[in-house]
Amino acid sequence: MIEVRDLRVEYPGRPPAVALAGVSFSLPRGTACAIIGPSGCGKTTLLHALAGLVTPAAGEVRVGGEVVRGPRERTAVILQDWGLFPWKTVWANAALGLEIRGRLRAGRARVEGLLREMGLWELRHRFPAQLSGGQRQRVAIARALALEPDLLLMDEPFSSLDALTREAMQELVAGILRRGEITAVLVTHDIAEAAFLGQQILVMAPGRISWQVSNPGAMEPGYRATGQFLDLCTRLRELCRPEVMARSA
Amino acid sequence: MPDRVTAHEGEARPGRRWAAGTGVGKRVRSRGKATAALTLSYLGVVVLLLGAWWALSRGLGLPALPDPVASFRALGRAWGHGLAYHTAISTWRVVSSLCLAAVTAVPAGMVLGQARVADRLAGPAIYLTYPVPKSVFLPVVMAVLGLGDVARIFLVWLVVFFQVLVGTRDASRSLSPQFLHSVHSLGASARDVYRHVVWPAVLPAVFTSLRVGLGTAIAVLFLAETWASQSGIGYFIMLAWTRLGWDEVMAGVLAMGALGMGLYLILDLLERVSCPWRYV
Ligand SMILES: Nc1ncnc2c1ncn2[C@@H]1O[C@H](COP(=O)(O)OP(=O)(O)O)[C@@H](O)[C@H]1O
Ligand SMILES: [Mg+2]
Repeated sequence: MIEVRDLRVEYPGRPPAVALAGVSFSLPRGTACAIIGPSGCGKTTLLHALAGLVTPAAGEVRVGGEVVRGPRERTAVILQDWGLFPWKTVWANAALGLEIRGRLRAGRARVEGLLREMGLWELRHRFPAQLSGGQRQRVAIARALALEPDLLLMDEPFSSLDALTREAMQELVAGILRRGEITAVLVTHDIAEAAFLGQQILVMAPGRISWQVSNPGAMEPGYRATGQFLDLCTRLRELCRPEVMARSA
Repeated sequence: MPDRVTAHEGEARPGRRWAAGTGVGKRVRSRGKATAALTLSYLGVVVLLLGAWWALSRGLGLPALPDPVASFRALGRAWGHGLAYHTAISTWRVVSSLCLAAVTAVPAGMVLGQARVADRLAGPAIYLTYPVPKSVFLPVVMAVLGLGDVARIFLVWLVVFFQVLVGTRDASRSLSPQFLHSVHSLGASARDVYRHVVWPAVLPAVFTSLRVGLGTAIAVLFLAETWASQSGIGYFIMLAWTRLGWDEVMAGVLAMGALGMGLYLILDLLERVSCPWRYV
């Protein structure tokens, strides 16, 4: 589903800031992938490249076999913190993607169904400022799912939630992704989150991918309580240590 | 309803829904109280101002500053004898200048804040012309556009245009890139970006600059109406002044003040209606 080859992304400046220097990986359809790494290592940039929001300086990104050159019809993105528009109600936020794509008339019932499923229907006339963090995050998820995506990109979607709400949201997302209809890439700096949700886990060092770990038990109910899960967390923590990262170069 | 609404978090944090429930009740009750307190404080200020005016007028004992009673009486008399007409004319001039300023400056400001190239071209021109007092161009404007409404509306427009332009541009420029990423990721065209993001994001700043602009607009209009003019509150005041009709002067001042306050309230109301998310 995703093929990234020798991807290089630079931000303009003198000299240009190299955010990604030669990133390659691929991901089969229906897989949930987690990307972890220290702050500033290029996770958001990689996600933006997958979303078609930044143009590569070199290399290419293919989604569903086609080179990504801009936002793609069936890619949905949930961004860090500011995905929702404060001036739009819950309903208008959730429906915005379909409205922009001119599919709102056909998709109205779908938006309603998603809002009901997420327990947001009674809140549809509220503005984001009137919601709790967990409710806002569910609006963002509803808006993404309204697009009937085959690729879901999430940038630290749960980082501003309290621990209990975060686990509830992880369960919610796991429930959606377990069906395997959606390929997902989740950026996080939370090791336990990566270990629970990522069937493939990419560990990033500044500008590149240092390790790829597969994790077949991901998203299974009760996975968090297993020794396998705890071992994986320990291993990931080890891989994220600067000395170990440097050795992978 | 609230318990079903927060059911999701409720599972994890029992007791939260009760806390939320009481919070809402308290807010509604205290909002009513706050409105009453606000009304009282406004009334207090009005009484205080009238009192100060009265004391000042009595203390000075000058014919140029009649007391409130005499002034309001004069207002009542003058209203039926021309002042209503002059107020209507001034209202038309201010309102049309403000509308024109909004219609021209807001789109320009939104684009300048977003399109770096346009901003780089127009930036120096705005920077250099913004601080120049536009009202000094009154003679030139009248020489070019004649002595009618067009010249006066143009002059007021010129002043307010720059204020709204700069206010809108700065708000548009400081828009968080996250919002733009968010809307672009949904496949937005340039038109969608302006419609769904830039426009609502700058709207509060537009109202702020229009409110500031309103004060300047009325000052500039007064100037424009005292010169080679046959109508408007400014003309009425000047005419009364030449006749030394001091209570009529005050009647004109009251009409001008009421015009400003009325438009200020209307702007407030429009902002409440068009930016509901800021009042929740
Ligand atoms: N708009 C930008 N302009 C210049 N440099 C940027 C920009 N965005 C990110 N960077 C730089 O690119 C690198 C990667 O950033 P980012 O992808 O946001 O990292 P992460 O999400 O892992 O914290 C950082 O060094 C950051 O300073
Ligand atoms: Mg980031």
